[in-house]
Amino acid sequence: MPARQNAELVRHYFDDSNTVKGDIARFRDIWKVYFAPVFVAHYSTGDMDYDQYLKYGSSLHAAFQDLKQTVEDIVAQGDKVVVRLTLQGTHTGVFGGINATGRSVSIQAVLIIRMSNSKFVEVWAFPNEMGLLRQLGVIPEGALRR
Amino acid sequence: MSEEQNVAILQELYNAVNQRRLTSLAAFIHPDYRRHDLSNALSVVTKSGAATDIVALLLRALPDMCIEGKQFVARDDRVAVQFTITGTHQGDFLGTAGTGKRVELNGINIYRLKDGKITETWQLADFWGILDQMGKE
Repeated sequence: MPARQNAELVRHYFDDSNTVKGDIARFRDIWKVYFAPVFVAHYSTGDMDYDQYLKYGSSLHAAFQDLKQTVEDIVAQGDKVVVRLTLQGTHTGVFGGINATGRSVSIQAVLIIRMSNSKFVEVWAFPNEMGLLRQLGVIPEGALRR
Repeated sequence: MSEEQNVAILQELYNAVNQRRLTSLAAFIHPDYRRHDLSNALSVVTKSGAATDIVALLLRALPDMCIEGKQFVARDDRVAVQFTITGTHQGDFLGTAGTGKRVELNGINIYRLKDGKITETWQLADFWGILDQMGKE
C-alpha cells in the first residue's frame, strides 16, 4: 500500500473519531475499521495490546466527550505514517484516575503508525503528558521553572 | 536534496553530538531556523531556543549523553526521527539537581530541511518520564 494511501487512511480515522462525541459504541465501531486484531501500542507507561488500547481510547473519548483531534502534519514513508496532532477537549469524566475538572485542555501529540494491509498494526505514541497534567491542574503551571 | 540525503544529514548530526564535535553543530542549522517546542518544557530554560543551546543544556545535565535515532520516516522536505537519549544525570536538569542516576529521554522530532540544513523542528519528548526517573517530588 503506497504511503500516500496510508496517510489518507490516518486522516480518515481522525475525521471519523471527531464524530464520536462521547458515543463509545460508535467509537468501537470506528476502531474496528482501522485497527488490526494483532496490534501493539508503545506508550511511556508500557505496551498496550488491541483490547488495552481500545479501552484507553474509549476512556479518552468518555472523559473528553467533545474531543477534537486536528491533524497538523503527516509524514508518510513506506509502511509508516507519522502524524502530528492537536487534541482539544473539556475534561468532564474520570481520565487516568483524575476526576473531572471541567477544564478545557489543548495539547499536542505525535504518533508513528505502522500499517499493514490498510490496518494499524503498531503505534508509538508521544503525547504531551506533562502539558495535560499541567492544564488539568494536577501539577502546577511552571512547576519546572527554577 | 532527496529524502535519503536528508536522513543522512540527521544521522550525521546525531553522530556529531555523540562524538562531541560540538563546534560543527551550527553548520547543520539554517539561518531561518524556527523551533516548536510541543511540550513547552525546554522553552522555559533556553533563552534563544537555539538548537545548539539545547544540546548544551543536555550535556550539562547528562555529560555522557548519547542520542540514538531509532526510526527515521522521511517525506518531501521533512524527516521524523524517533529518538532515545541516555546518560547519567550529573548536573541540573530543568531544576532537578544531579542524582547520579542512569536516565533516558524518549521522544520524536520532526525536522524540515532546506538546502541541506535544518530550518524548522517540532519537538515532543517524554519529560514527565525522565523527571520521574530523576525522582521528582
